[in-house]
Amino acid sequence: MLRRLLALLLVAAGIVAIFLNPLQLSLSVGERPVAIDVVTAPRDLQLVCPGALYQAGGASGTSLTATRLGAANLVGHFAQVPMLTLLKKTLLKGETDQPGPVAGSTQESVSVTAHDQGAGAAQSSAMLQVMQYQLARATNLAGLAAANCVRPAADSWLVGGDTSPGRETLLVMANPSPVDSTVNLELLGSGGPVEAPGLSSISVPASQTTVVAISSVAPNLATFAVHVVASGGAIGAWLETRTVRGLTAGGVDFIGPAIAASKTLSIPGVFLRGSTASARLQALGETYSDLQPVLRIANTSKRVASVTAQLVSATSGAFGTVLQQDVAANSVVDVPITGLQDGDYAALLRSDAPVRAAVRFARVKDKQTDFAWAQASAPSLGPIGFSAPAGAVTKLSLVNASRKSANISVGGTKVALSANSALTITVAPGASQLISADGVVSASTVIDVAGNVSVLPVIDYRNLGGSLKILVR
Amino acid sequence: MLRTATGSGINSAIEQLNIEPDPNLWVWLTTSNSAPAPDALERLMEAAGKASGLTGIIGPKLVAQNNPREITQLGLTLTPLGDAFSPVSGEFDQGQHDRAQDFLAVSAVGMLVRANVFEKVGLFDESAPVLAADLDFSIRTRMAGFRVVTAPEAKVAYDGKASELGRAMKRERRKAAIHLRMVYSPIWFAIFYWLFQVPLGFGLAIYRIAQKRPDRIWAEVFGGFWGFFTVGRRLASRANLPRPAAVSLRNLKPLRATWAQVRDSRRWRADREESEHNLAAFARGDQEEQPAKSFGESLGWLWLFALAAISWRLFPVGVPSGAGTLPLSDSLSQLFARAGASWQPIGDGYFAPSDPFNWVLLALGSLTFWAPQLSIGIFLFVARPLAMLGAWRVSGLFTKKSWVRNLLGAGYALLPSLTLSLSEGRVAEVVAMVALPYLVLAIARAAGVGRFGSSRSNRQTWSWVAVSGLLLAAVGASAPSLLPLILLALAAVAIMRIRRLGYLFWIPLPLGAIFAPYAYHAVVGLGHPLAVFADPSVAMSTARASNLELLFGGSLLAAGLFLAALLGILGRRWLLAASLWAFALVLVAAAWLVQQVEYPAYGTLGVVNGSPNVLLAAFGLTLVVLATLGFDSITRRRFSRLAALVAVFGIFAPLGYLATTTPTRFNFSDGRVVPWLLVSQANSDAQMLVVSASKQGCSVKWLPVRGAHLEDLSTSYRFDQGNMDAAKEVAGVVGNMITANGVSLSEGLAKNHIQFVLVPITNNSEVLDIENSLNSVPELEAAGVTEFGKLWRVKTTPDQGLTRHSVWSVTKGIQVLVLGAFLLLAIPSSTRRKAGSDSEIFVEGEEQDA
Repeated sequence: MLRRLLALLLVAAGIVAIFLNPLQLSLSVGERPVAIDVVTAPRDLQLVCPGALYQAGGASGTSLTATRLGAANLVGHFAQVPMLTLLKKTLLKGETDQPGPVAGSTQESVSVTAHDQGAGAAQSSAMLQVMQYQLARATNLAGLAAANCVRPAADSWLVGGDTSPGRETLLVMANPSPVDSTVNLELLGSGGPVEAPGLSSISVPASQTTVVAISSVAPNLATFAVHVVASGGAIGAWLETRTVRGLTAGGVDFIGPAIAASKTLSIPGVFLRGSTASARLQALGETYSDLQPVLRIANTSKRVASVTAQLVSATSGAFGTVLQQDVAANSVVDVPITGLQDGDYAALLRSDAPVRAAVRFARVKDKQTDFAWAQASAPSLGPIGFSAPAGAVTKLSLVNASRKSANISVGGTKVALSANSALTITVAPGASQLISADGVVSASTVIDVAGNVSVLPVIDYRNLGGSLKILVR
Repeated sequence: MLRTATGSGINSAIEQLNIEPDPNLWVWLTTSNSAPAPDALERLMEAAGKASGLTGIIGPKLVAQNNPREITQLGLTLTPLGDAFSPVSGEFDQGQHDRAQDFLAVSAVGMLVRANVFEKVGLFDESAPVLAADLDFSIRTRMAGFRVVTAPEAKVAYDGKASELGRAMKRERRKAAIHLRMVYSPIWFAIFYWLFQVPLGFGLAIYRIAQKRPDRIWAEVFGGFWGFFTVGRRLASRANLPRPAAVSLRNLKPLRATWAQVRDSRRWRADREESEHNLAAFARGDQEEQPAKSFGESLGWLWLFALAAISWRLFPVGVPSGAGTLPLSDSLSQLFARAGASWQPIGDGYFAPSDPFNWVLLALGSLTFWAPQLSIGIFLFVARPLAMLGAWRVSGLFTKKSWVRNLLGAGYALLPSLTLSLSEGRVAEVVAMVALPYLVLAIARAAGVGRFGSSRSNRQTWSWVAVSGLLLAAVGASAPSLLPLILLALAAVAIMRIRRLGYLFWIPLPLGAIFAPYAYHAVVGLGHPLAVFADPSVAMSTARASNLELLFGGSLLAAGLFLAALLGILGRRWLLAASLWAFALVLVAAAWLVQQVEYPAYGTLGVVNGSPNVLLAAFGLTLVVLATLGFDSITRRRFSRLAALVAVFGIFAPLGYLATTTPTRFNFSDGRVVPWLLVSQANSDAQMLVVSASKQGCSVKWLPVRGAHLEDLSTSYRFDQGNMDAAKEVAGVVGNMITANGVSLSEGLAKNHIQFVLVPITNNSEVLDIENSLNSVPELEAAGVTEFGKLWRVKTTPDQGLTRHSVWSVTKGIQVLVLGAFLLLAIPSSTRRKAGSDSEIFVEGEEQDA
């Protein structure tokens, strides 16, 4: 027995030695595959803008087609670099690219292209960025509608819109390319994909704009997101959504393409004002229900997404809130945002599956209402450029969703933004400025014209190119 | 009496005698290594006196030198196929053959020859092989009209030629058989037989392997060449036949052996071999005093069903795909082409030895040869029951207790490492883990280790050697990280059973055959010797286990098995248990080491670490054996029941819980790896690019349009930068493609046979940018959204033909030969029915011939 115990002790010693082994080796066998550096010229940066608002039914409201209402103002910035020329094209049949200024007004959709003859300019929104805004005052279409001019894409998700009674949503698609495009739409509602006629094989001819009334193909749909898939030429796509309460217009806005689905999203620019008046109007009935701020979450993944949204305040004295929502696979939900005082907020979303999201909020001034859809904004280190319209009050909403504080420079003004917090900076009207930071931040501009509101995410525009790392295996 | 010098032939002795052809004169031939009984000549002469004038040769009864009651030979004849045959040999002499009989031939030892026979038929044929000379002489005597009889009362002690010829005996047997056929067959048959000598030699070599007689392979091959190149001497020997023959060979048919005699002789010899083995085993004390219950009697089936139920998530409702596995190709010929290949369809073609694991995939695919893709799913589902069956048998090497075997067998099948590998579909690891207990069992049987002792016959031992060899090759190819320790254990077994070294020596041969080219390439070609130990198949990272988890085999839920294994050291066989514990701790240390090593991954910029799973499974199997030793030591029935109860709740229940609740990380698909559109163009040289992107850069897989199946993966390629010139060219094409900057791509696409571009669906913005760009490239047209991603087709590339690459190479030929031979050797054959062959019987008889 003694020998057995001795053997047991030896084994136990071995076990203890392995258990207490503190070593950590780092032994690497073989080299990692080498990515090849390829220097390629990016394609010319082109942006396309939707043009003036469409008025379904025309001024009388009885026409079978949608017609343009007034004109939109283009605001932007183009860096004057040698070998770089700005070309502009109105998207009407027969129009071609012509040199022109970045600003101006337009009724039709336009495309602007930074033509780089030297193929050496670094593309970014510091080189070219354009937005448009329009204050509509028609009886059935009123409010501020601003939109970023976007890079044409073959695949876009548009999160927002409403087709309930008194609400209308149009899909505006502009094709700046020389190739015709055929578009298929996918409508994702709260119960999953929405089957409707007329969602496929929609023609968007080269250099033209096509409007599809989502309200016609899928009426009475309060919650949805639209997936636009174009084959042929890449297109710019926006939703134009408006509210009419009886005979009174209740607001209008453009909804631009959402950024890629992600497990973490930042939605800056949720600036709530007039909440008392809003509550009073909401009490009047269902027709004012859209004054309630909502968070719309689209889950296009194949699994349920558990989403936590934190509304952080940039205003001292105003507290945020936290929302939690499970979103079924392939569906869209609206989560009401309640209990918030007036203040500048940003929503920070964390999810266990990639999602897209936007926040709708409204402004009430006297009897006038307008609403805005604040889209998620991509985090960036910058420098990214943005422009403030001349005739409007523009505020920059910044949010830092990371775990480290960031030092940010906006047009030369330096500010610090701690982790998980938001900040508001008022921007001089008519200015184009650059944002740069030493950590990733997301930014949106909130534009206010006479109590009407719009929110535009600050986008960094760039086509793939330059020095690329490509691993070929 | 004339005594000739040692080494001089029998003919010279007869010639020196200068014998008168007097029919009344008899010549008695004998040899120095025979011992005629004192009255042997007298008895022979008595028989000669009684014999008629037609009797030409009288043969004595040959008996064993150490046992005069054992008849070693009495007369010789030919089988219906013309091979030599000894009708009476090895029999106990009870006077059953004491009647003088006519035979076709008798041995030259103690042969009494009538003097005039030499005049009629000539002397012994010096061209005849040594073992055919007496048969040849006797038959010619018969054909000259003389009788050849035996005189059983005359006894000559003679043990045969085996001691003189030694190792050459087997060759001489074969030469004798060839000589007799060539000389005594019709001339047309002899020519036909000659023409096919060499292939026949190889064919017979294969037959010998199937017979578990690998010792005769060389003799068969040598015999084939010998017969072919010495045809002149065989034909010359035909001239010695009496012409005209008084009696034709056809008329001598009644003297030839019948098939029934040949069969009886085979059976008798097989029985004798088996009984000799049993006696030897009994003498060593190997024999079981009381056999253990069979698997059925132990109610093992119930456990198998329970394990199958626990594996419900793995039920093969399709072809496993994702995580650690990919679908296999749907064609067996494709699997064969990839096994042992030197050329692989990666990029513009990759020249390097393919993974040895591809042989395992070929073997798996062959099980469902009509649809090889199904095999992986079925295998993953039955892996746990198979593992249990193996561990049950390993446990049986050390105990007879059914409950111990069932419980610990199931414990092995539910090991955390196996559960993890199954849930991630790591096929290579699961193969190694399932094969491991069978390998241990086979080596134990080949080495004669364990409760059963050695196998029943040499043939069974050869079978176990072959099974061990194939399993070692499978385990080594599937889990190279385990190889050094397995070889160490095998060496330890060989040292412990040094008498079995002759068998155990051959076990690593198949592994060497399939592994050597791959290892050589890793060491010399790539300059990374440690790459040999990289896990084959899909490269996946494994979460690094803590020291405590490693000690418990991967999960704390296996603590019960760990504690039970400690019992082993307190049992009767504590020394064995302590040694096993030492080996087990080495396995854990190796597992710790392996998980620290990083290897390049496939097609990305990342690395993966080594997987400790198989080493942990080997550790788990060692724990199973140790626990078996521990439980086997519990003799009191009451304690046994208590131990069983504790084991059910301490080992089976937690491991079962882990296995049941671990989700699978792979999916079941329809077996395609590319969209339908590409499947239809698989038989061409057309290539596709699979483009994915992240913030770190863009990653392009350059593949044939048939896509990458499991057998197309190459571990060598992970360590190889490949053809950088071609890669740079493709990278340039991709760079211009994903930026859509207007640079013409036609030439680059056509030159590299690129016909499709696939972008897997991911939501990152980089990929969306790439999709936008591809839509703007004029050389491409969108071909739709598939379940594998978005697809673009190159507009202008003409249809591609298919370049055929030979599936054969020298190394592959050798691998096929070795694996085929081991497979034949491994297939069990019934010793009763298939024992021996004509020439084998002759061999036994000839050994006692003069």
